Amino acid sequence: MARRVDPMKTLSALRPKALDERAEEAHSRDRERGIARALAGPRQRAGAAAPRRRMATTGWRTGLLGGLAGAAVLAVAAVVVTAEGAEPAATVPPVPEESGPAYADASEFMLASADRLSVPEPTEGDFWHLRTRSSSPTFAVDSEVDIAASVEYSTESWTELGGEYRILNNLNLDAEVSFASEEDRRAWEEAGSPELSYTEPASTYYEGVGQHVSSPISYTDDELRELPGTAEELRAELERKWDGVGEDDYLEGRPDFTSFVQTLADRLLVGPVAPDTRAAAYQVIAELPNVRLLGEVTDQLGREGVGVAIGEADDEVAFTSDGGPYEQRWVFDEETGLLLASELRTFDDSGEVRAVPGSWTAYEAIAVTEEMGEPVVEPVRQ
Amino acid sequence: MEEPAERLTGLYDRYHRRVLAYVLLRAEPAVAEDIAGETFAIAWQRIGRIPEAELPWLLGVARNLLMRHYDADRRRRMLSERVAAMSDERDRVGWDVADLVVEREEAMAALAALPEHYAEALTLVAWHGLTPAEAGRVVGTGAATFSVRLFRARRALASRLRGGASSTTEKDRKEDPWHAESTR
Repeated sequence: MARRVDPMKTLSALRPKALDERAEEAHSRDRERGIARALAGPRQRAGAAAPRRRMATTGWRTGLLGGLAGAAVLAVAAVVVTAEGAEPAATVPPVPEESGPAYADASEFMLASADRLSVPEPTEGDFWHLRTRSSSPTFAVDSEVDIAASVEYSTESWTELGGEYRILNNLNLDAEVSFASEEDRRAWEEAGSPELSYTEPASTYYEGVGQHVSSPISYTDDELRELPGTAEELRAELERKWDGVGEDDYLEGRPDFTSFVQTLADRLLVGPVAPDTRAAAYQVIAELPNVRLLGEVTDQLGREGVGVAIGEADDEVAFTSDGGPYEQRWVFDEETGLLLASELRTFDDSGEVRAVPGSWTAYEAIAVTEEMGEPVVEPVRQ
Repeated sequence: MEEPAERLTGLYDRYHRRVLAYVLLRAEPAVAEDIAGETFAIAWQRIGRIPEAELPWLLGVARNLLMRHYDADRRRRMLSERVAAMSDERDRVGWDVADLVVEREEAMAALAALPEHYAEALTLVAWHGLTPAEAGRVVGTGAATFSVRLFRARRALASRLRGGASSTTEKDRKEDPWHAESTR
């Protein structure tokens, strides 16, 4: 009978015996210099955003070791700082072209973004305007044909803040359908090319405060504007809201607090909240246990930004249209801190996140306007 | 109360070797030493905000720096390259003494063939001595999510060590406790 393989014992035996010796040797050799290097860098004030920094590269260090042995003061100066009150160091290391954004983790990036956010303030009587480009799975309306396809479309909305509580949505603009395969396209055509969801332009118009219906799992636009403006108070309010969520409020059961915040996050990031509330929302997200920094990424409109992920970055699960583990990705503008895009990515059979998100929304405009836009077709009125 | 500089020095003395051991298996020696140094420069910057789980946080910072330094393909190849470069006669003798079922080269090939996040999960626990909860903090998942990943990684490694390719996708999907529908 064949002997059984013990994978962890086998793996443990693969660890090189020289590893700890190498670590000890490098630690002992450079201890004083390493500590001095760290201490010479900037230190963040409590509650303040981190100063921007770039990581040193191999070249400068090797050079210093060769030519400036013992020059610890110069060695530590090689961390470049552009924060207020700190001067760029004299020995500036080259920053490689491929160098990513200079943040230690997602939390640091979110806190830094909260500090430099510049978003219009929602004002009573004005309209909160969003223009987005999105992609979602689509399906044939009033047809039995089962196809795999997605549709990309634009949406515009104007939501009056107070006043007459008017809302105008222009939906499904400039729709472009992509079939997963030629077979899907043929199946759709053979079924008589039935209408696909999200492809026909539509306008909806609502008026009156009654259209802003409160819900246990979300906030109305008025409620959004009233949310507190510090991270502690906002977190407490979100926890209070979460406490009120019932088992049946979500299809998949009551979410944990992190997942609950995740469901509300886009509303907090791009909705009509006060500037201090928005900054607080960034801070609340920064403290969630499983946010991860992805580095420089490009959104589906080709805009470069900084990626932050949250969710189930895990597991070998094939994509199915009716759900499955997914990773939520946000793309933020590094300069303004504003949300550029929100994406849901699923996983392929090997457990790697798919390059193309299952669905996504890219924010093209987040603005306050004095006037409402025009409907693109005769609006459905409520 | 401990002064910030004292805390940084304490962190350095306690964990610098372990951060180095982590990055030395993921980067060339010079790059690894730079990344370990930069990790503690960032620790100093955030000295008042470092969580209680200090080592997982430090390794998480080092991991982010590594991800910025190498693309995914390079990271995938780096682990086996570094293990090969650092292995010596003692490892070969030790392997024979341990009387393992497979050859050392076969075991390394099996590890190298795993998806990167599986190899990472296994080595954080088996080589760097972290608990699943600590390792989960390093890679940015919760403990439960990490445990599921570790379980699957172990099974995938076992499958490859037995000489078969892992074909557990369907089984995993059925067992998956994280199977949740999108809320959007």
